[in-house]
Amino acid sequence: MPMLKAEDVRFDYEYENEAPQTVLRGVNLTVEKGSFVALLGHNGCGKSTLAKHFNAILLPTGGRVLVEDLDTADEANTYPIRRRVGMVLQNPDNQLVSTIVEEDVAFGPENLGLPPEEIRRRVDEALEAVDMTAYRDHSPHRLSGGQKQRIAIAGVLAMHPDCLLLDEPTAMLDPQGRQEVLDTVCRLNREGMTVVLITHYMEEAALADRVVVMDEGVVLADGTPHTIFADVEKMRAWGLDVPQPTALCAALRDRGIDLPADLLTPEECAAALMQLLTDPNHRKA
Amino acid sequence: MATIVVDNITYTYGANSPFEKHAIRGVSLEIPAGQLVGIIGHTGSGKSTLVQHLNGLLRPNQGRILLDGRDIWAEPKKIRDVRFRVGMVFQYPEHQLFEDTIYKDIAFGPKNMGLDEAEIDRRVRQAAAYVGLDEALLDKSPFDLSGGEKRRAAIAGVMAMEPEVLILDEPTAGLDPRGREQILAMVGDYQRSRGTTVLLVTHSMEDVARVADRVLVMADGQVAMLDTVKRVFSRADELERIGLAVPAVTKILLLLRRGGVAVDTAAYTVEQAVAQLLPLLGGDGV
Amino acid sequence: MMKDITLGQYFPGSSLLHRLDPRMKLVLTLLFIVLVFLPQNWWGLLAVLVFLVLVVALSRLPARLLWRSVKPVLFLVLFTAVLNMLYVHTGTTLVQWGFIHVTTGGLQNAAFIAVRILCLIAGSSLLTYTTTPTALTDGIEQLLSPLKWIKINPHELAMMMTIALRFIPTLMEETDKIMSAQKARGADLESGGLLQRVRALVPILIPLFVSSFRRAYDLAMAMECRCYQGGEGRTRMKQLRTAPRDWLSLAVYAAVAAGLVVLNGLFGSVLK
Repeated sequence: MPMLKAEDVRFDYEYENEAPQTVLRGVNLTVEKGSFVALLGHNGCGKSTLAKHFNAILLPTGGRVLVEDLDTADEANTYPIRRRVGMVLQNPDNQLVSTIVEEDVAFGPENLGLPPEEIRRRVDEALEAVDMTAYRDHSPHRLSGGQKQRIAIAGVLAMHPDCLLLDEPTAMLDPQGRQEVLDTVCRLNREGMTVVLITHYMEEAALADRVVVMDEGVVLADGTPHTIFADVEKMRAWGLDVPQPTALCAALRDRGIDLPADLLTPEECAAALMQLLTDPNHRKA
Repeated sequence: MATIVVDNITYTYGANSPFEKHAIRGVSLEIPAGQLVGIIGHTGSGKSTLVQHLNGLLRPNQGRILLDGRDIWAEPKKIRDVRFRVGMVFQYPEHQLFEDTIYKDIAFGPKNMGLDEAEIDRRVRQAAAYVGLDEALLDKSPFDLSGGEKRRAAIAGVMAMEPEVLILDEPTAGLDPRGREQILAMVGDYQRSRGTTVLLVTHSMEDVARVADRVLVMADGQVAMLDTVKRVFSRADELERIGLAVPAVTKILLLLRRGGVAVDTAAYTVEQAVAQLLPLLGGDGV
Repeated sequence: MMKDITLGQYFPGSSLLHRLDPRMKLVLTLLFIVLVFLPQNWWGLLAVLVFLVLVVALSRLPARLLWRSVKPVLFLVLFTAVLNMLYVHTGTTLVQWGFIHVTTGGLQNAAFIAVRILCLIAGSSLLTYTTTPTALTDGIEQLLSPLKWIKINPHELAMMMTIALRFIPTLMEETDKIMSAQKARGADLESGGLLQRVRALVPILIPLFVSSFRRAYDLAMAMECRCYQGGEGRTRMKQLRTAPRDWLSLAVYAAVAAGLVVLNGLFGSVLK
């Protein structure tokens, strides 16, 4: 069953005294419930703009966007949609509202007008889910980037959404912070959360079960990480990268070594190389 | 070209307060002139604190920093001259742009140096060329540029001071792969063409592997390693113990070696790994 | 380092004062100001002083904190006292030299006013020492809720205060960073005349403004994503509840006020 659906979505940014700028030129995309989709593309390709359509922050100038069965164009649907589809932004500093962690997490449910006991229950649960219970009384500005970003995720979780949109949540974090956020996101997905992750890190995209590449406001490619990254040349032509292990395998394949094209992680790659090196029949393709 | 010698420096944040924290302790090192040195370490390892000492933005609680053999704090009133000789590009430098045109912003540093108009003009245009900014962009407002262009303009602002040492703190943070590639290539070209000493602070081992001659590894406010890239990555096991992720290809070789294959983990680019593996696999081009 | 700046002046604790409802603490603080201005004679002022000492003891705050809040206004206190000394000419003359004319009445007045102001500052600083900024904001929001009837929205006011408190440390850090970056480009912030120094601030203020706008834009979007629609229909996780101790405190303050009025009646006024 689809969680999100974009049907021929077009979007123009309107400017005063200037010609409108077309950002999305007919995007068709369906995100199934419970899936983990990575959205790739270089800056200005329209991926953030598309994400903002999925929680009714932006409304399409053409086509339509459905969240479950709710049309984002209908104003009555705006808040039900935003409750279902939570969004985490790039800069962890700019999305926390309160001076105390647990009060920040409570912000969303408070806006939903829930009774205090219910809010308390959800806040505790959300902090537990991102493993930040120990920091409930802390002030956000003393936390690390990764911790702040996890608080931002908790703030969204407390609204009990069905889907998480993450717009480059790791771009400003150090490797440790990135790992914390990714572990959290992967775990939530395993527990049934639909995840749409926008990222510039190819190793992160490799964690998803589906990769969508965008450019110039349209979807260029859509498939599993293995099939998408296998085409090293094409990815580079689109201004993207491939995970280093995939690049290594591609380089070795060019020299006639019989390696699969779709290896993503160092572990997969090392295992395949090990097999070649220890099995004499595989020598020389 | 200037040689930097750091002589046993210690710096403590918030001394005598409840938040007192030793940022760096007893750090000594020497950075020879004309090299590109990558500086890696965790957040809080002291790498940012260290580089802010090199141009006198921070003053050590103990120890000295020598620039070409001269203590930079010998005359505290002249610390500004040290800042002109040791240029520093901070994280997200595009956030510091403030003039109404890119030209004026790049000229800010040279103007503070008291140079004449003609010299400033030459330097602005040359710096813009180094970072690959089109002349036509110079008269535009910084706010009309794309994110990557803004970042390059900000870097040009420091290059225009023609420092003998250029320090860049995470210059590729938050950029897309194309933007990262451009900045790295630009830094590499700049270093080769001018012979300036360049220090590149980064979290990305791949970046270091691509452009650096030497690597300085900081851990817990101290120097863990300072050596050639090859020798540092050959200690991949140790790097992993410090909790630093080695480049993925190094990791692959490390896994192979643990599996009993006789490979050297000193390879850190795809090309080097191919060179190591091809003979073993018996592919073409051997 | 600016990073180490603490938010507000809250001093953590669990004393009776810390546990009082913030709304009641706001009311009591206002009441305390009235208490300080009630006494007309030394007996009354002494009573206020004793009461203040008792309250401070109950708050279990270190005395140096009170000293810290009083210190910045010492000059003002001294200045007011001297003015009073010079302009009140009752009682016997002690010194008469040119325009300086000091009398016993003047001295008494000066001392009285100095003690009064010091009590006022020390007493009201207890509020910020024992209440977290968030609790204070909540308290203000709820106390001001009747203002809704005259079209002032106390929720918006409180939201603005919360956001300001949240972003002050972030912007401090940012200022620090921008200053370092411009200094690295040779900006000279420390020398020159006034005009030159003001001009030297431009490279710092402009980036700071730009970044504040960017943050404001992000924050507004993040709030919208989290279903923020203003105060309408919003509930709070932490409900403010008054406990018997709140009403008891109010009763004590009222009793002290009554006592002071009696003291005024008994001993008359020493003030001119």
